[in-house]
Amino acid sequence: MMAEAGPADPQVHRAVLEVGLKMNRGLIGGGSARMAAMLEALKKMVQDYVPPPKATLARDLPDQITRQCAFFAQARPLSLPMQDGVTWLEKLVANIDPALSEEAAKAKVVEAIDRFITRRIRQASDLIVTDGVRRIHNGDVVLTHGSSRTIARIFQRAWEEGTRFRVVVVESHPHHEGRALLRDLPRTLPVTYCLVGGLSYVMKEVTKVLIGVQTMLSNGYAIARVGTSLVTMAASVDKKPVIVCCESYKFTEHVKIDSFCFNEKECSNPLFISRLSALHHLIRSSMAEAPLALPPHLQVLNLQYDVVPMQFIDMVITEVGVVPPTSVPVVIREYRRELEDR
Amino acid sequence: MAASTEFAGLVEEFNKLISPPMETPYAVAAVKVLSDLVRTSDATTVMELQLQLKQAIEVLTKQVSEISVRSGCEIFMVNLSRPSHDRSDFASWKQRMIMMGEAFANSTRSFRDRIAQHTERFFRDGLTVLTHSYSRVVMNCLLHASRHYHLNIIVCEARPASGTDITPGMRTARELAEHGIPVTVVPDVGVGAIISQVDMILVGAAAVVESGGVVNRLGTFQLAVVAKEFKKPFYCAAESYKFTRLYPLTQSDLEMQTQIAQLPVPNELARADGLIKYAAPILDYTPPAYITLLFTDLGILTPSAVSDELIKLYHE
Repeated sequence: MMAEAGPADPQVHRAVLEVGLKMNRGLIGGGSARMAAMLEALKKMVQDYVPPPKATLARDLPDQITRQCAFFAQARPLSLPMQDGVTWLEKLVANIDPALSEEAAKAKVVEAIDRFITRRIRQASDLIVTDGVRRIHNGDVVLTHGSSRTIARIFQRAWEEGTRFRVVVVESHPHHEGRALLRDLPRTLPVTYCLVGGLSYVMKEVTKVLIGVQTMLSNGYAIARVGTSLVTMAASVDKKPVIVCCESYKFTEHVKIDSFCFNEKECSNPLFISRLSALHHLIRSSMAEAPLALPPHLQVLNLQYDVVPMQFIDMVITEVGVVPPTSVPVVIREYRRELEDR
Repeated sequence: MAASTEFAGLVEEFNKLISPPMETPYAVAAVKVLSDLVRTSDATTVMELQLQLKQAIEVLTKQVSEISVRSGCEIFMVNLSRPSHDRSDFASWKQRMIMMGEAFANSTRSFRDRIAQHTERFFRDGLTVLTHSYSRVVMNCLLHASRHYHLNIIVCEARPASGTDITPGMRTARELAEHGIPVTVVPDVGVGAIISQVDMILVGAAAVVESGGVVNRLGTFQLAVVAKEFKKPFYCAAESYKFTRLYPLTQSDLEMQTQIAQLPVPNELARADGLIKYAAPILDYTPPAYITLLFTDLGILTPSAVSDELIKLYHE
């Protein structure tokens, strides 16, 4: 939930400002896209960074990074993987050897960020696609909800490789992410498009459910686009296997048991108010739309995410292999250090 | 293919090992023939030998479509042929591989004894145990427990048997009787009728998969479903070498991995027009939600711990 924003911190780097505002407007969406954009912007900031007089890089840069990240959080609440990413970067910068030259220190941070984006976001997604394609067989009817780039690529690749299957895209209000997914699917792939209300009807013919999630939690639960919990519950009632695709950087040590201890509430009036309105003093007022007047007794709850219980998840595909949701903490323990250090 | 003729002797040796009188478990037989290959190989470099092993495994898994063959081969490749520091010294590396392979093949007996010891505390006098088919591990557990307790043992037939053999359930009964232990045989269709008398279910496994579920002789899954409905504990005993990197989601995922049993069509069904089909898969998949605990040589595990063990095993 967004706090009222004060005037922009003059020390916010322009790349950070740009990406932050785009995120705020919803122009950059999707877990991996947001994470990569945030890191790219921070990379640019580090590249342009010059320590102020009477300060050293090792002492000042961590504060600067924290400041930039605070702006991101102000523009839109950070997802748990993004929070973990920020912590990772802060730790990395804090541990820079003070004896290192300014250029060398900057190069080190830039290289670490590049490696994170390549290995843990891009390559991870590629590996998950390869594995996901193998899970789709001829004659399958695969149901999905929300819009995940990885899922779209799995469908594309499986279809191109000659697997003949059908897709059911379940759509939910107000984001209409299903439509975005439809645009990414091959033209010849047979697709059924239906609203959440039609779930129990379409579920009968479905053979498996494939979804992307925002976060995998340590207790095996997942945070995903609002409505996913409902979709997986319906699948579980009909005993259809639910497959989750998730890069390991989205595995966090946090634990949540329901959707209310953490969530992101979008503007109360879905689709009408840009989140920008709270930040409108930062940009030209023409871009900020006026809030729609609502009757005082009416409260609209427009949640962004919900928590999918572990019992509804049969399999998690990650770049390090396929695991049951109970193994999330094991993957964190066994792989995290290695993936980060390399 | 040239490779298949090259490894014909290997497959023959494997078949000899798994058939009576030896009846070596599939995974162990696979490790044995692979370490034999290492011993007789004329390869002069690590790369060359590893390539030979890979080819041999390909031939072996193609010829014998049994899941535990795969897990045996995987164990050999991951654990035993893991390159070590003295990799440059080819001769000693090769020697170590042979030794480790043999040590593994010889230690399987002790695996089963260890499982039987772990399992002992789950038994008590007058307990009614239901088992399914024939499993060496389960036999070991039951014989071990019967030394201390009086058990009522019920065994499901696990039909159909291949060829003229007796059903695996009958074999269990016969071997128990040879040890002077009374046993009741029930047909597979009678599980629902006797489930209320049962205190616990103990089955073996052909493979324990990544989800924590088990792949076992046809009928295990339905037994597990009935057990769950009647809130009876469902235990599965398996050696850790049966842990396999497989992740079936449904029964049909399994069919792609395993052969449908080559069973003769019963006489009464034989028709010239072939209108009647007789389908009997050898194995079925029991998802982890139906399993209470797994008894392994690593200890008593919950199904979710299996995946943890597998991650640790294959994560170098």
